[in-house]
Amino acid sequence: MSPAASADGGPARQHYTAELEQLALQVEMMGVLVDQNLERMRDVLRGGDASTATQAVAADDRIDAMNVSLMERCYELLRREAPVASDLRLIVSVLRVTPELERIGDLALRVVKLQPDHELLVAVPRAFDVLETMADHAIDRYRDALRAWSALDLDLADRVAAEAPPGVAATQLVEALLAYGGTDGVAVTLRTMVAGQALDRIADHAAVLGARVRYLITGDPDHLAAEVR
Amino acid sequence: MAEQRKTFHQELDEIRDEIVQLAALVSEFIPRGTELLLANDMRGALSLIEADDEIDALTLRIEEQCYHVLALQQPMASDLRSIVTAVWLTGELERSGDLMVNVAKAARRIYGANLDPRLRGLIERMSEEAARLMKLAIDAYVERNASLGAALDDIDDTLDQLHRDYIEAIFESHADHHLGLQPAVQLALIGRYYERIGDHAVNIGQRVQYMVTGWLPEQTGAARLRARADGEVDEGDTSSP
Amino acid sequence: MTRTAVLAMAEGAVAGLVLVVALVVAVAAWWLGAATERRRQRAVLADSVRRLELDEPTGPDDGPEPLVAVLERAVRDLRSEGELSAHARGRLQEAMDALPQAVLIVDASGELVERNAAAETFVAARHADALVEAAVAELLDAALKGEAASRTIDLFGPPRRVLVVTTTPLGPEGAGTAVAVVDDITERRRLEAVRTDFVANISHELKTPVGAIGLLAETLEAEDDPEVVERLALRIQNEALRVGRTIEDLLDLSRIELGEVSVPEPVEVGRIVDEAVARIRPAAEQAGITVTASVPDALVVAGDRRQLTSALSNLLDNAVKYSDRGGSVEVDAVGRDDEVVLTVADHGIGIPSRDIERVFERFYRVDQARSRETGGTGLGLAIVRHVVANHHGSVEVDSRLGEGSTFTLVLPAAPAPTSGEVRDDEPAAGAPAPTSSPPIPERL
Repeated sequence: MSPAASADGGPARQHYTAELEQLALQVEMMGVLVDQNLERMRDVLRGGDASTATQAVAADDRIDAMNVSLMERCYELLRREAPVASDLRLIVSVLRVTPELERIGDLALRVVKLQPDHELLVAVPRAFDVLETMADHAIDRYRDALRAWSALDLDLADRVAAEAPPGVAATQLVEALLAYGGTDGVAVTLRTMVAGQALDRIADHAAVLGARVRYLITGDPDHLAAEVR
Repeated sequence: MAEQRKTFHQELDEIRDEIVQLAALVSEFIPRGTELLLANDMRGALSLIEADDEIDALTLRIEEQCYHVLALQQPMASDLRSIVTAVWLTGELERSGDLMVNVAKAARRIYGANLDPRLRGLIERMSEEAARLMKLAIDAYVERNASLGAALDDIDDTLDQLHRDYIEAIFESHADHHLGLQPAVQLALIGRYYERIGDHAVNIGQRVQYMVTGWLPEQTGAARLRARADGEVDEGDTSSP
Repeated sequence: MTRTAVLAMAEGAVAGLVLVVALVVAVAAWWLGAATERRRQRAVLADSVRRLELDEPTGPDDGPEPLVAVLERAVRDLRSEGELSAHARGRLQEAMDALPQAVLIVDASGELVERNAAAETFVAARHADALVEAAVAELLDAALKGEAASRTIDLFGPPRRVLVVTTTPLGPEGAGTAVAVVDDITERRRLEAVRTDFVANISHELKTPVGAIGLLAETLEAEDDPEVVERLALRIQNEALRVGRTIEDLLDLSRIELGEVSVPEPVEVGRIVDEAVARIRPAAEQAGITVTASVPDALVVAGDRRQLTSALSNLLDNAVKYSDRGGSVEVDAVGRDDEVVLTVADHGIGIPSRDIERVFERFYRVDQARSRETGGTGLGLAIVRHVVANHHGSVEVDSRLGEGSTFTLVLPAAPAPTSGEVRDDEPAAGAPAPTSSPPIPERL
């Protein structure tokens, strides 16, 4: 990630460029933290392990802390440097991207917090299968988005942004739940749907990340339009 | 300088007015989408889906305007927060509009399905509740009312409860063979769309809180982390001597 | 608005003229001492009078005084004209504020220069009104470019509203201003819908059974089988009954619409409740629906017993029709200050909120199919509304789909007995009313 290498660099200017590079790097680190928590989410979903769930909750505080510090950095830069063109684009992109990452972290945590009810989640095997597939899909989308960000890969960003929301999985999930005849049907459904919705939305947010990366690379407002499809 | 400040604040006011307009478009979508869903109105569904373009166009215009102000005006702390908040709000609002587009699309998929009165009643109530939350969120924004913004999270509980009742009602209706599998699935998804609009309203409330006070919900997590880190240092200190 | 502009110009002219004249008079006074100067003074004053196009005094040339008098009179006249114009302006603003339509006027730069009271809603507006504000701004832009424009805005509310924004250019092109008028046509739209629906419905309600009767009679003519003949005859009878009921209700309605409550007399609420419940009893039993009533002693309203019973019967009729088998309907009455509040509550299918405004219209039906099944005429609630209006009361409905409906009638209580006794202690005139009617047992 090399934002706006400026040729006319006095020491102050160089310092500024370095700060921008650091900013982009810190976003990537935050992205990795979120990635780790998504992995924990998948583990908890599969095995219902309580200690992994505790770890995830603690890690989310670090994600929150990074979000706050990134926002402060952005403000500092906007105030001090009055950035223009691609520098401004980077900073506003960071301002838009970090809340998305933070939200993805929150959604992962929402799934993790279902851990005490893990039995209910696995009660309908077909639905549970769908949940696992949804989790895999969401994490794949997220990783693509993160790679697009760090490599500034326009093609990859394009693909992530264009990915249609996976309505099929949500449909299959409800179908499986409706077919279930157990007495705890409603309890199972509510939990499973919370998980399904969170996983769905992680994929949604990943698509928004992709659109943001495209805008960052090209500066073309039409690429924002793709985000608001 | 005074002249520049004035035009700057005019631009901020303009951004606010356009956010209010965007929110009004989105808020209108909620009863409109619900009505076409309950009335089986396919023409209405199509026209809502098309009207979403207007929302998208306005969203982009506001966002571009925000970047323009950021680039040209060098705003100070609280103004900066207002602009960043505006950018965030466009995202929340635009996605709420999309959710009603989803409702319209689902209405087309369940065309002709016979919904029993209880389900219809719950859909109406979820819709009213989502619209109410959205209005309160915008009131909080226009009035810069941080406590109202913060209260939205609790107010949203009503919608969550309605959503639970609704899922239960779908189950019963499906079990009684009043409701086929496909419509049941679509209805379950529709319920989630309303619930998510509520979530977006809660997000807007938090953003408003941030705009007014500079407080981010994530700061609680950050503070916890610091407290934990301090705690570890303390433990290290006591164990070292 | 051009009138206002003219008046404003007149005001400006007054101020200017007052200044000129004051100056002239001061100069004149200064010069007054020297008699030799008088001729020159007079010439100057005469010149002023001519330039201001005032009438020169006729008569002998005897100094500046007559000219000063002419000028003073002119100032007085203009002053009072100025006051008049300010007054006219105020009156105009008052008239604008009295308009139900919102009126907004912008200058050539698009800045808002005038608005009336109704327009306040669309300035710095929020929620749905913000959309109207945006449309006004957009259409005014077009009007400033010389194009009159108009747009209808459907707002889903709640409440649902239909507004028309119309803008018109004013004054010369380019330098002109523009006016926007926002008109709320919700009620007009609703009435149009009521009228067209009424015409369509009444022809449907009368034509269908009449057509059926004709067809059945034709079939009957060619039929020999006594069993079939009997069946056909029965159906003809049913259809005739149906038309008869509709016509009966229509006549009832038109009588009640005339607003004739002959001479209001004290009517015991307990009695009309009993009567109405007795009337609905067979239908309720057949549908397996329990009707319970609880009316405290001595509630008396002033009115027409027959009309009130008819209104209550119609409410009960609906409540029973829209309840599911095994359901229940409750009638309650309470005295409150100088009113009696009667409620009829069911736990049936309820009314969708988009229909709730229209249920009191003639022939308006929430559920066409169900209504046909149960044989309603579609006039019941219209009758209720008119009866209540005749009694200076009100009727409201609170309903949730799938949970049921509650109709609330508020009627003015009959004036307290003049004997001076406290009403709470003593039942009102006549025998004590039955306090409640026994619940109708569910059909076995």
